[in-house]
Order: sequence, then structure tokens, then C-alpha cells
Amino acid sequence: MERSALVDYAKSLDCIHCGLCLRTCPTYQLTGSEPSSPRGRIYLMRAVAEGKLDARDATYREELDFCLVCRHCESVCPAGVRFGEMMETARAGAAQAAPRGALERFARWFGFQVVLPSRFWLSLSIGALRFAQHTGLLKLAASFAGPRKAALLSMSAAPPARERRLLPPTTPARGSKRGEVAVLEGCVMPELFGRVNRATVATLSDIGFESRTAQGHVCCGALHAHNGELEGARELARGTIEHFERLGDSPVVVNSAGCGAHMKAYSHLLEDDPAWKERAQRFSKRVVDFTEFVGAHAPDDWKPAAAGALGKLAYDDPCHLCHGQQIRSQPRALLDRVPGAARVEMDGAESCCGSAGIYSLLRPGDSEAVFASKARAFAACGADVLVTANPGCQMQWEAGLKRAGSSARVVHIAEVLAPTGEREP
Amino acid sequence: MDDQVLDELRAITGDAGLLTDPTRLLAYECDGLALLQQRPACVVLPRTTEECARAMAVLHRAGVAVVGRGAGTGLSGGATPVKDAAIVGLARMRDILELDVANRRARVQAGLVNVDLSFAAEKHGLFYAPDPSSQHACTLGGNVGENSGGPHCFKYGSTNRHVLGLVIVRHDGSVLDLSAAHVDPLGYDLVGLFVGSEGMFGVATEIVVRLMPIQPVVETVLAIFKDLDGACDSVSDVIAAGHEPVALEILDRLTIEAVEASIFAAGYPKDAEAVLLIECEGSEAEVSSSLDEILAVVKRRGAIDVRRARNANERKKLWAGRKGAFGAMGRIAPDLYVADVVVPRTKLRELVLGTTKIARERGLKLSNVFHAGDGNLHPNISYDRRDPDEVKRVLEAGDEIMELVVKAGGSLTGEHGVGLEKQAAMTQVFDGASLRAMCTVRDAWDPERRMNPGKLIPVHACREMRGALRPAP
Amino acid sequence: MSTATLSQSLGAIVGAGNVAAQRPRFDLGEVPLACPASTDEVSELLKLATRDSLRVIPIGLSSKLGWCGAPERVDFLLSTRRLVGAVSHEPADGTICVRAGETMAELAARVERGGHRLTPDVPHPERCTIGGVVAAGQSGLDRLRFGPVRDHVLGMQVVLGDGTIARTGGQLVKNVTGFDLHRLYAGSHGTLCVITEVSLRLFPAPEHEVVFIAHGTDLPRTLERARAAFALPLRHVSIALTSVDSPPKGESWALIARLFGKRAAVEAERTALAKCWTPATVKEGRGAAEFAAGFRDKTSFVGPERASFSATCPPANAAAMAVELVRALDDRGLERRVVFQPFEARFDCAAPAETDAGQLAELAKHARAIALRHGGALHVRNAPLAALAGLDPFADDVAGLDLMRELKHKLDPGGVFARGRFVGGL
Repeated sequence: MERSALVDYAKSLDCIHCGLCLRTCPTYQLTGSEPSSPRGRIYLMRAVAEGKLDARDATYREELDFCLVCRHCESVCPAGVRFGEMMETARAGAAQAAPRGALERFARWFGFQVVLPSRFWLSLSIGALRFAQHTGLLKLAASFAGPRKAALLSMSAAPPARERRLLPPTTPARGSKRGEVAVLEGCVMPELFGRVNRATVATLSDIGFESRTAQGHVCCGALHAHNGELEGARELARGTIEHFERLGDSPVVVNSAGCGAHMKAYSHLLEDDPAWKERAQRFSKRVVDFTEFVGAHAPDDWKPAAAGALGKLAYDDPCHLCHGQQIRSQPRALLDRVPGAARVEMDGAESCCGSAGIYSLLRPGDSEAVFASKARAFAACGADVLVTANPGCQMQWEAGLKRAGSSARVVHIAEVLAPTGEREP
Repeated sequence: MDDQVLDELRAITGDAGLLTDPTRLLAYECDGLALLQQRPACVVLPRTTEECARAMAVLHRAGVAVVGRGAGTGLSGGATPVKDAAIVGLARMRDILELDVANRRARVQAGLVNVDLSFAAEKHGLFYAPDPSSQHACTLGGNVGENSGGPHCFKYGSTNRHVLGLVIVRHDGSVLDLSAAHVDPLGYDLVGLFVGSEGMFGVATEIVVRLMPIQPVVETVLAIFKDLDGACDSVSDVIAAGHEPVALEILDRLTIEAVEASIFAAGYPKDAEAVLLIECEGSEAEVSSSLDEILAVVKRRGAIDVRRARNANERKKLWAGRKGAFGAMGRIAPDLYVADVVVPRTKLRELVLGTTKIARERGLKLSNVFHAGDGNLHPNISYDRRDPDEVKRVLEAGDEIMELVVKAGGSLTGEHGVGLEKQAAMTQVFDGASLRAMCTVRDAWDPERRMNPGKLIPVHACREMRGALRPAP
Repeated sequence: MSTATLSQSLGAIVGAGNVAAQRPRFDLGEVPLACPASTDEVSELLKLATRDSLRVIPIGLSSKLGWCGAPERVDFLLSTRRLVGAVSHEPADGTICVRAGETMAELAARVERGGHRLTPDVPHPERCTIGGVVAAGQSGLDRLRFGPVRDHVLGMQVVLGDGTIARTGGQLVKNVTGFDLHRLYAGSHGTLCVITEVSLRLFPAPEHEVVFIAHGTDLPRTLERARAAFALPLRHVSIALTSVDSPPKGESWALIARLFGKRAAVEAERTALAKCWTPATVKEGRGAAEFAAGFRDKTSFVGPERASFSATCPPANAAAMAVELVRALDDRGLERRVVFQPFEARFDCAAPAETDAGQLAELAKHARAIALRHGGALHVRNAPLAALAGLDPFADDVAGLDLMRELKHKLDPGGVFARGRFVGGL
């Protein structure tokens, strides 16, 4: 295989080895080990491209897998290194250079090609999870799960079937209609966080926008791309574009930071596909995060309906919102508009919570270690409610605080902004 | 390295504290000076002074050379490994051990990142003055090794003026506790001597530093020039007139372009040939009166516009542009050679011109971003290390810049250290006797010459280890 | 070698007229004093010492010879007093390289002509040399603003024991080329080398200056006022308490604050301090400078005539240490001759001239115990030999002494620079 295809050599040359990324990198903070830092990983990628290191090298692959791809490093990189994109290429390259074992290949195929793109399989999986959580089967399974035991036991509770429903095709605007948006329902979102989707459209409705969903669309492919399944990611991207093109050219509002960041980057993912390049660019321009959209379009006098005593809340920046999309001030400004809520800042709000897509499932020990400092910062800031804007982070926080014995609530920002009647317990 | 030695080390630091895998070691083959590379034999990452001391004792018995490393952001190759050496890294020693507000000092582990100390001190109205541009990455231990500077050292002085005490692990693993921080040293000033010794006297594991009160008023001003000369002359005039701003920084056109294209875009005007960043702090009266006079000088020297930061955010932005300038150069070419010469402040203009000329003659792209107030120039040459001819020309230009500056009464390095990079040029500045005195002092600290061997002192001056380094491929 | 023969050999190097007999303050008899006029002559003298195993003490004007202990042996004194004048003075760059024998008074005048003010502002600047001040690590009353002198030494030329002439640092305000050996030599009291040239960073001469003088009867309350002044965001040059400056009857402490700098800034600072310190006498401009110089000289404990103590400790403990030290003087019925710089945490006091050696030794030990208890140290200066028996003038216990011995051994293998004077007998 051509060495040039193993890593994105051109991008790796942007790195000038200054080290400004080190302090922000969760895995470097954990280990103090240079190859577990962005600069170190780029150095290894460069070594692969220059023939000094074999892409099949187990340590190299381990260091790639160890990365959370939180992209915090991108936010502080003076040279503008696009580390997230480099990781996608490097992971795909490493997988091609040395195919994974049969069992792992099967698991990845089943997860990425079968479950994620399919509403049926997703629904079945979460149903099974709820069954296992309720019957104690999960506890039994956990006892065989070795290092994943704690992670399995503290997983967010799968909601009952009545909550695991899709949004209606159209949610009208309350009062006079100011515009129309398309809303991404997401893959796991309707299964685990249907209430967040409903809060999302309710908020949009409250500020005068009609929401429509892309019927039959399931997965945007973000998890595929982050894990080096680039072909699968491209296929799902094309499907996503098609689905949303059917809804005209209205903004595509996304309440999952990881999906939003990825969909904004379709233009990059499909840049070598002449048939899709322009369509991808047009689509990416439509993608807007929920907080970005509400922040920009809520009437000046709009106030989220009084939430009662929400108490002190802290906002934790999802990586793919703050580092992936440079959205930091909008969610904070929105929370500051909520009557009855007192927002406090948490130290290290911009650092990764350890969720990182499916990282928390693949590497539960590392994920928990990364979370530990977040839990400390949250406890130190004294808030009662943790607000996030991404389902993965929401699950991580729920599980992590549960393990720590904390009684703090974890909510998606849409749940705070939605009109009170639409808010679910 | 001997397996038994590695086992002994592992028993001290744990699995996570010892790296031996060749792939992992590859990432340690250079520091911020990517031009020179050598893979170490292992990396030891202790968590405490005690672990460090025990590990150093093992390395002493095994006769293994030791290269200390903070965050590996140094630009002179101070942390470039030598063949078969162990790196002793401080990356897992980053606790603030004591923040003594009443005495305005802090005791920290040497792997603490510079800016983390400032963040902690800020809550008590205090700050730590030395602020290298890499302060978001570099460690205080590294700062001690290199006697690092930074923009604000113009007024407050480099690291050596702010280090009050040290705990040092010596070459044989013994611990030298000099952390008592007396007003004047008791006996010889070992702490002052150690600061800037580039890892050749031992490994500092704990540092007591001075903190200073945050000043009530800070004003940051950006003066914009149509030519670099005007900016340089302004600085010379400001110094000669006896003003004491806290920082005087110049960025030239190429640097401005790179910064403005980066995430640190500070709103520097892209059509300017140079900008001069001026910061004054102190009491209201002090700041306003001296700033008025400084601005008068700047205007007389041809500044076409002057912008004042209106709030802390704007000030932060202006500084982010300056501090991110080095990294932003990655946008111009894959590699960057950063020179670090110091010139008498009366000769800024002519020497800046001279460095530019040297680069131009070799067809190299040179940009200037520098601590003008100290006369500390950073002529930056952008290059691509895959082009051997260009690398050769860069090195030649670097040498010639140093020669030019030394002839004019300047020095090789103001804050990055000598390391590997400027080692040979040391003979331009010091005669044999002076270099031998340095060797003698080093021998008192480390009679085996095992600590960061092959650095700073030129090879023939005291029969340094030859062939310690393999040239970059 | 007889004294006469030695004097002759020394005279052969520096000229017979530049060798004199001198009685150092210790009861070691008369020894020759050689005054070389160049670095080369210094080198020749030390080569001679190496060859003939002679023991040397380098001095300037010998004002601080008594800051050290008695040497084990000394064969001749080497004074830098004829090494005068600037090697290179760059007023526009704010630096100077000066020969070590220049007196502080001459040097101050020289840098003032270039628009600067010399630091440290030491007592009786006409009686000491820059080389001596640097070698002794002497601080002035202006240390609060400028810090210790070692921070402003940019480079040196020195001559080592074997006559080797070596340089360290340079004449640039920022420089990390090579090890900072000048940090080692500064404060080494002539036990490692003879300093022949010193490069210094200079500070702008003030446009205007003001001195505030207030009085108080009791130490803690006077300290409160000092603290109030220190808490103001002013660039104090010095804040000192003294019992010396003949306060009015019934008031035993004078509190002195000095401010200088750009005129507008000083005016504003003056207003702020005036609000804080009422009543106070205020002197301005030339009057302030003259008062400050007079005060500085009056509080001098320089010279062999009086033993003195200099106690230092962490700033937060300084007030408590000072109170205890004053009590120690009072308890013994000794006259208070004290200068206390609370924020530099330095307490200097002179022992009365009539104190006998036994009482002095007892007081020194007691005072050192107080300083140690507060995490500090106590330096005994100019004590008679009898009082120093069993007492290291610098400290009893010093961290890193083995390494210091190794440094001394390596840099001065011939033992040319007389031993026994510095900490631990270095």
C-alpha cells in the first residue's frame, strides 16, 4: 500500500512541534507521555509517511486508539493543524495496513454497518438494554465484562418504550410562523433521549419555527468517520444529504454536537467525490447547531418559560461544539436568559468528559480516568445541574455522576429551554 | 539499555512511568528544535522528588547519561536526547505544593506548566512574571533549566530573578534541598547558578518562585508602522528616554500575515510593515503619564496609527497574536528555525536589517518577531526540512546571524539557551579560559559528565563526548 | 618567605609604590597589600601566589573585610582600588561595564551623567568599591524597588586563583549564553576569584523624588503604618523603620518611605501616601535626595568600628522577628541601633561599641536562634575574633555545603584564596 494513503502527510507538515497542544490533551494529562499527545501522534504519523515507522506497528495503533479525538488541540493550535481530520485518515490507514482480527472486524461491521444505520436494529438494541437493566441480566453480564463492568452498570437507564418514539414529521410553530427548519433526529437520540428531541422542536416552535424531520433518515456517519470507517461514513453522508435535500434548503438544526460538527465537515469528507462535492458543500452550509440557531433567531424579548427552581447550573462544553464548531458563547447566553437559573462556570469546561462517541464503550477505563477530573471540577463549582448539548456527553455525565454517588441532574440544553409544558421529568 | 536496569526503574516509577517501546521513544527524539533528532534509550517519568532520586541513583550506578525534559518546547535542543541516554521527564510532576500568599511565593513541582501557576496565583491577586511565549505548554522546570524569558521580562527580568529556591536531584541520585528561600543566599548562590544550567547540573524537581501583586492599571497599545525601521527606532528612543514599560514587542509584516491567518488573529493590520506592542502597568498616574510620553515618541518615529486595548479581552487578543506567532509560522512552511540573538538596544535597526539581508542572500524566508525592549531578536527562518539544501542554507544563515550580532557586541541567546544548536558558536563569545571555567564548575556538580552531555560547551573546550549525536537523517 | 621578600616580589609586579604594609582587622600581624593597576597584574599576582603557595584575600577598600570570619592564614591582600574607570558605558542601552575598584560614589556620579541612578544605594559610597559590593552581595536601602545587586550583574571579568582570566555573561540586559558563573562569584566574598570588571544594568534617573518621615512610639503600631503604606499600589523605593535618626523625645521609632520616578507618577503617589500617613514630614526633590543620603550614611554599619547583626527571614514573619530582636536588645539593656526594612524582611542592628566579646557572642547566638525560629538567618558582621570563637559569622548549618566545598576545590585547587572566612570555613 502507498505510504501516502496511510496518513495525511500534507496536513502533518503544518505541525511545527511547538507543543502548545500538550496541556489541553486529555490523554497527555493522564499519562505525561509524549506519544499520547497530539504533537506526539502527529510525529508518529509523520514517521509513518516518511517510512521510519510501520503503520502496522501495534504501539502506533494503540496511540491512535487512545486518542479521544476531542479536538481540543485544534482550538489552541497556532498553526491551524486539522488534527481531527488527520486522525480519521490515520485510523483508516492503519486499519487498511493491518486488518483487525476476525472477531473485532465482525463487531465493527455489526455495529457500524448493521446497527447504527438501522432504526430497527437500534430500537431492538436499546429495547434489549432496557430489558437487561430491568431483569438484572445486565448485572449478570457485567460480572463477565471485566474492565467494562462499572461502565455497564452505570450506563444511563434506557427509557421505556413509550418514550422511545420518533418525532412527528412536522411540528408547527407556536403563534405566527417565522420560518421553517429541518431537524436531525439522530440514531441513538430517539432511542435514549427522545425527550431531548421533543424539547428541541418545542423550543423551535416556541420561537416561531416549524420543524420537519427527514423521514426514514437514521445515521449521519459521524461515529464511522471518527473511528476510521471512512467508506461507511461517505455512504451515510450521501444518504443524509439526499434525505435533507428533500426538505428544501431550510437550515438543518442539530442537537447533537458530534453529528453537527461532522455534517459541517461533509464538504471535506466528500471533497474527492466530484459527483457529490458541491452538494456536500451546499449541505454543510445548511447545518447549524441547535444553540447556534436559537441564539441567532430567538426574538430579543424571548424568555424560556420560567423553569421554577432550576438552581445552580454549570454548562459543560461538548468538544465537538466548542472545538469542532467554535460554539461557546451561544449556549451560555441562552442559559443566562432562563429565569430561575443561576449559571456558574466550571473549571475546564472545554476539556473532554471522556465520552467521545463510542470511546466510553471501547475504552471504559481510560474514559473513566478522563472523566475523573471533570467530576472534580463539577463538584468544585457547586452546581446542582449539569447542562450539556450532546447525547454522548449526557450519557457519560449521567453514568459518571451516578458512579460518584452524586445526586446532581444532567440535562440537555434543549430541556432547559423548552416551554415548561413540554418538559419531561 | 540493560533489562535489569529497566526493571529497577520500573519498580520505582511503575509501568506508566517508564517508556521503552521504540515507537513511543520515537516521539521523544527531538524537542522544539526539530532539526536535530536522536532516539533515547528510555523515558523515565517520576511523580515525586523521591522517585526521581531513586531513578537517578539507578541510572548513576548503570552509568547512563540523563537528559532532563519538561514539555519539550525548548528551541535550542536542550532536551534533544543523546545516544543511549535516559530522558527524565517531569510531565507527571505538576502539583502546586504550596501557595504562600503572605510571603508571595509558591512551591511547585517542576513539571507544572507555567501558565497554570499564573492561573492559580491570579485568584489571590498575584502573578508569576516570566511568561515565555510557550507558557501554555512549557514547564517551570524547563524554564529553570533555560533561564527563560518572555515579553514581560523586559521589566521584571528572566527566570533567575524569580526563583527563590530549588530541590535538585543530583547526578548520583542524592537530593540537594535548597528550597529554604533565604533573602540572601547562605554561602554560594547555588540556586542562581543552577538556573540556566541547561540540565547539566542535575534535575530540579521542586521550585520555589516569587509571585508579584497584579498591578492596578494595565494599558496595552498597538502602534502601527509603515516600515520596520520606525518601530525599531521607537524602541531605542523609549529606552534611551528612561521609560519603563513592562513590554515592548515588534512583529514584522510576514509574522503579522501568519498570525492573522491563524486562530490567534489579533486584528493586526495586514498592510502594516511592522507593529509595536507596548504594555505599561502600575498606578493610574504612572501608566498614563509614561504612556503619553511613549506614544509621543512612537508618533515622532512615524507610527501611522495607535490602537489602545479598551478592555481585558482586547488586551488578551493582542497578546494571543504575539504569543501564537511562532506556531502560526507553520502556515508559511513546515519547519521554522528560531534564532534568539540579543543586540545592544542602540543597534536594533541596523542589526534587524543585517539579519534580513543574510537570509535574503540565501533565498530564505525570514520573519522577525522579537522582544525589542530587551534587544532580544528572533529572526525566524521558515524552511522545509525535507529539502537538504535549504536546511544547509538555514544553518549557514543561523551561524552568520550569530556572528554578525556577536561582532556588534551582542550575544548568541537571550532566552532559548545554547543547547546543541549554538554550542559551536560559543567560541565566538568566550575564550578557552572562560569556557574551561564553565567546565570546571560543571565538573563540581557532575564529575561524571553524565547530565545532558554534549550540550552548551563546545566539544574541544573540555573534551566533550564526541559523536554523542547522530546528524538528522 | 619573609614579609620583606614578599613585598619585593609583589612590588616587581605592581610597582614598589603600590605595595604597602597593612594590618587587617584580625590579629594576624601586618601583611603586605598589593594594588595592581590592570587585570594582567592581578593575574601575575595570583600566579605568584600559586607558585609560592601564598594565601590571598582580595579586597576593594576593605570596608567589608569584617563581614567574613578570620582566615586560616593570609600572606597578602590584593586590592582592586587602582582598577578604576569604565570599560564601556552605553547610556542609551542602559548598561555599563566598569572596573571593579571604582568606588560606588564615583560610579554613581558616572552613571548619573548618563541619565541613570545607581543601585544598590549603599552607605558611604565613597568608602567602598563596586567590586566589593558585588563580591559581598551587599544590599542598599533601595532594595525594595530594585531587588538584590546580583540581579543586575550582567557579566564579569574575573581572575581565578591560578591567574586564569575568565569572562562570564556579557554587557546585555538579557543573555543566557553559557552558565551564569557571575551568580556564583557575586556574594562569594573573594573566596573563588578576584572580580576585575563588572557589567551592570542601569535604571533611569528619577525626575522627582519624595521622602516621608513619620514617627511612632511603639514598634507594632509603627509597623501597622508601614503596612498601610506598603498596601498602596506605589512603587516604593524603600520603607524603613529606624531607631537611629534621633526621633523627637518620647518617640522611639522613625518611619521613612522614599518614592521616586517620573514626576507625574511621584506626585500622584505622594498624594496617596499623604492620605495614609498623617502626620508626616515630607521632603521633596533635592531635599529628599539629601535627606535620603544622610539617613543612609547614618544607618551605616560599615567599617570595623562596630559589630552588627543582619537578620533576614520570610516577609510574613519579619514583624514578629523584629519585635523579638528588639526585646532581646532591651532585655540586655543595650542601646537600640536598628534599621528594619519590613518588606525586604531585613533587620540590621549594631551592637554598642562597649559590648564585650562574651556578651556579644551570647547576643549573637540568641539573635540567631530568633531568626532561625522565624525561618531566617543571621549574619554577624565585624565582630572581634574573640566573639567569633565557635560561631560561624554566616550560619551554623548551610544546605549544599559539600557542593560549595567542591566548587571551591575545583575553582581554586591551589587554595590561593584564604580559607576560613566564608560559610563552613570556605
